[in-house]
Amino acid sequence: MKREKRNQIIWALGMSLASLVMLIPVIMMFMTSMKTMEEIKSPVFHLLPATFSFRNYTDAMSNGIWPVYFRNSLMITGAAVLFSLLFNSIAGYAFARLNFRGAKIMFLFLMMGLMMPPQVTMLPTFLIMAKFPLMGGNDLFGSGGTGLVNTYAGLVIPLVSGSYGVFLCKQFYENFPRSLDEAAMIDGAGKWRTYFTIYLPNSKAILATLGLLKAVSVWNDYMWPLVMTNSETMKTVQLALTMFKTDSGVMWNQMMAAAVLVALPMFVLFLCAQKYFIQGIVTSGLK
Amino acid sequence: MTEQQPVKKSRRSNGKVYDNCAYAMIFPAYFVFAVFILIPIGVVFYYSITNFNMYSKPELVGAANYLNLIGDGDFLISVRNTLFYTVFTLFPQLALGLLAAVLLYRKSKLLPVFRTAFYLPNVMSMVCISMVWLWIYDPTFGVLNMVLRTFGVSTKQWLQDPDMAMFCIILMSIWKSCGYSMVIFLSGLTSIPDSLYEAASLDGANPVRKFIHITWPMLRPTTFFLLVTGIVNSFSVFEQVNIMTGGGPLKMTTTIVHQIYRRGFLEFKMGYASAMSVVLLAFSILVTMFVFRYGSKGQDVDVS
Amino acid sequence: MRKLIVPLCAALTAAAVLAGCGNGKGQQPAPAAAENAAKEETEAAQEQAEPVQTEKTKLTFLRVGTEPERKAYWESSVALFMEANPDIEIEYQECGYGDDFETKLNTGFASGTAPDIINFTMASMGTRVPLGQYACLDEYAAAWEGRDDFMENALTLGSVGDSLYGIAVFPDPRILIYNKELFVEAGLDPDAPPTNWEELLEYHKKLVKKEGDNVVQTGFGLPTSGTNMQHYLSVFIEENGVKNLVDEETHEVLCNTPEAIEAAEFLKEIADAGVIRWDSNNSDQNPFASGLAAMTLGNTTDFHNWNEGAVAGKIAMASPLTHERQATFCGMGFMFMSGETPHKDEVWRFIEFIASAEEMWRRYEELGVTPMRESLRERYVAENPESNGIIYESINCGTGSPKVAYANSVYNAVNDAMERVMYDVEDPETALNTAAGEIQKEIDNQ
Repeated sequence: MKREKRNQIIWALGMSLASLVMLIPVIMMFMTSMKTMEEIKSPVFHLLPATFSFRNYTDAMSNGIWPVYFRNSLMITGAAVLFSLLFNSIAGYAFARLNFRGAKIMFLFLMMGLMMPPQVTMLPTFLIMAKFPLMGGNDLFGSGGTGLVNTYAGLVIPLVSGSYGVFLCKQFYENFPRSLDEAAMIDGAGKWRTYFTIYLPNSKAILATLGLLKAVSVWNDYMWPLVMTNSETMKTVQLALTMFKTDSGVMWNQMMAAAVLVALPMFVLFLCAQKYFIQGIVTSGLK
Repeated sequence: MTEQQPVKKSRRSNGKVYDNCAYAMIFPAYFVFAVFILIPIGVVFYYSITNFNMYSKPELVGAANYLNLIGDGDFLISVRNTLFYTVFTLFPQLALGLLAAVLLYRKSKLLPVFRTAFYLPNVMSMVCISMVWLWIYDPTFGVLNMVLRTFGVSTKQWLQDPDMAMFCIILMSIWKSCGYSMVIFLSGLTSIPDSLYEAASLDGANPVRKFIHITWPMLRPTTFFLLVTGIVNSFSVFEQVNIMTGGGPLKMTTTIVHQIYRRGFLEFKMGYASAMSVVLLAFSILVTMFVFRYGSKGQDVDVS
Repeated sequence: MRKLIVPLCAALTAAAVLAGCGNGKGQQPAPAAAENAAKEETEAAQEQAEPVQTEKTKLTFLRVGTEPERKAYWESSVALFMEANPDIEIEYQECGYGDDFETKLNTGFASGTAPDIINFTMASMGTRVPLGQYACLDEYAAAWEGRDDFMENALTLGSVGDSLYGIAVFPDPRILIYNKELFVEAGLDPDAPPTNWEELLEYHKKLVKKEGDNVVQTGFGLPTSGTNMQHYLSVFIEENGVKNLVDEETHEVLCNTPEAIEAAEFLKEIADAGVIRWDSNNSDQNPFASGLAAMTLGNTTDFHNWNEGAVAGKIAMASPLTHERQATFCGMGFMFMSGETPHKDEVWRFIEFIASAEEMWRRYEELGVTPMRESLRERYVAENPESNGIIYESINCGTGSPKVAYANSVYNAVNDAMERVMYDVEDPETALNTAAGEIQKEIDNQ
């Protein structure tokens, strides 16, 4: 018993130290967000700001229309995460557990989505969006208007395809004990019912993971919103952050302040999601 | 999607049972993928045999782009750098992520704090984080040299030193992504049934033995996933390079995607850049298939 | 129901892809048969579209940069213009500098949704004029009142060959900036900055401070890597009498002429006497800003920024150096007309408005931008005789990036070469000859 307690303390101390090391750059970022531009430019580095003031935060938020940027980012991220979770987990289940012709080759194709650098496919994808038929003033053949450019749909749709999500779910479901399927089969459950009654309820951890990772990647995405949006009212938070970059030099204090605020929703999301990473989720299904 | 469709099964002559409902299950994800990702990939293949410059009508040039690649010194350097980056980023990052996940998979009030500390770098904006690291690496005022000076060690040029620059980028990348590996390992750990550990405890196994005999084999699909996505992601490393060094000094940090970006988007040689992407894709497929072959064996660990 | 919608969507998307990818310029290559079949829809669409066109001409204007002050200026000018021209409606858009802006324009032009009016850099002309993305402004300039009043060099910089493509709005000359305090510390006269190469080198050597092998203070803050090395080389080769890195008209490579090599050797001599290494991609790293370099090249915005930082009140501007001649590098922000816009006249009216003397002076008052009309020169210099004269002079003798289609390859080759020189991998002659070889290969490929 005593030994266990000692181990617990060593663990806590060790992890605290490791956490501190990990957090150094983040702490520097946070401290910078409270400094004045003169302090940042000053040749001597001080970790702490001369005075703790949140002026940069109010200044940064009064540049541009931040409530709108946050609303846009939240809507895009929310929609992308919701559809990804729905579509990817069921596809992952199918690839992991079902036999169907062409499964291997279809999966390989899907993996290509991960391998092609997005910088290159961006232009063709953008063309498809701009020429999308019957949208944004386009006719049946996709000309005349701007298609899905500068719309929420255009921003979200390509993000829900999810090679990544399908692969993640597939790997997760492959880890599920086969005995689960057998039990379901004996009960006479079809594949749909097996998925919805056995797999899905046991997928909290993987859905939390996928939801978190997808949200972070969509929230932090810069390139796609950059090319897909034109107007101020469609800007996302990441695009808005570049506002502080000027011709020569960057207003680092305000930019860091805005970046801290921009990271906040993802921070909260992580705190919620990590609760699902606890021991023994599958056990109940096993017995 | 929620309506229950009758399960259709067809039996082939070889006696294997096929689940045709699988097509319906993968349809939503696959359809979006096919239209918005697969077709663009096809278009990139087409661009790669043309002289497309982003604007005028592309003209076919055959294999010229591919042949030019062989003689392109910058491209070859970028391949070398990318491989170097991949090897030295991926394994430390996976090891650290696994270590963090195993250490942070228990019951404690402090858990959310520690987990957050490891994951936070992953959610921060790359632009701001890169800037902080530029300050850390600054030869005159940087924190790193400040530490070296207090220990009386001679200072380094870091990003300005051709031999050190890539290591600086690697260190920053490991820092940024080990929390990501941790999260995926954590979710993998949740799918390991408690009963296995309980049984092992009854047999008197210590934590190290439990890790070797239960955790590690059971995490195989997760490790495999991280390995594949890690390789693929490292092959397309770009953002931190572009912000922190722009590929320099002396091209020591230029990577394949950095070259693609530079040729395609700055020099408008989209055909040539597409050829590079196709080569990158082919290379990724090869490596992934290799990993699939040797890495995904024995996924179904005998639980009993 | 779903069974019906899905294949329909698939078919439509496939058609859209074929239409979109087959033709980069966005004209409609649909087969005749399909066109007939779709005639009804097209007519319906036209009926909808027509009344909108007769009402107001809608233009989009994309400007480079996202600074709030400039945004305020542009929004007020757009408002002023629309007030005076009720038949035109302008939608203001903006996007950050550099690669982002290039990407934005590339996707816009590739999909046929490019903005009608573009505010972008001189460097973009080299690649985008040959692609037809910027329209020639000669016929409009012929009847333009400002043609004779405009600063001659600004018009030259906005031309490719003999044709005018861009009207200058934001001049961006590289000015020699120096730190008076460090001059005094080193026993130099703070009011006598160097005027030629010999003095620059002499002062540089006096200003360098070392601790052991480490340089802790440098004279001329020269970068040693990054994508702006070419600016520094350009300045010095032009001072040495070379026209530019390449000749825009004859496409002769000039970056390895004996004078150019001499300039690179001079820079190397400065570096060898002691520099603090920094990456020119990142102007924040310039040691001048923190008082570790006594001289550097910067633009007027740099000057203002530095003057608010660690070296506030200690810095001053100097006239461009003279060797064979007085010269410097001068970047420039231009107004361009999209080559694709169907509303050329309306676009010109906006550009003309922006280039008017009143707007120019408003830009000076609100943003401190140097006016570029001869009629405003005296008034401008009188506002601040000490530095405005130097700025005007620098713009007037400035040369910009070579406006050639392979310009980006020129920069890459020269930047790489200068890095090799600065890191002692190659001597200036070998490095610049290699660069010239690479550039020549690009020229031959055109």
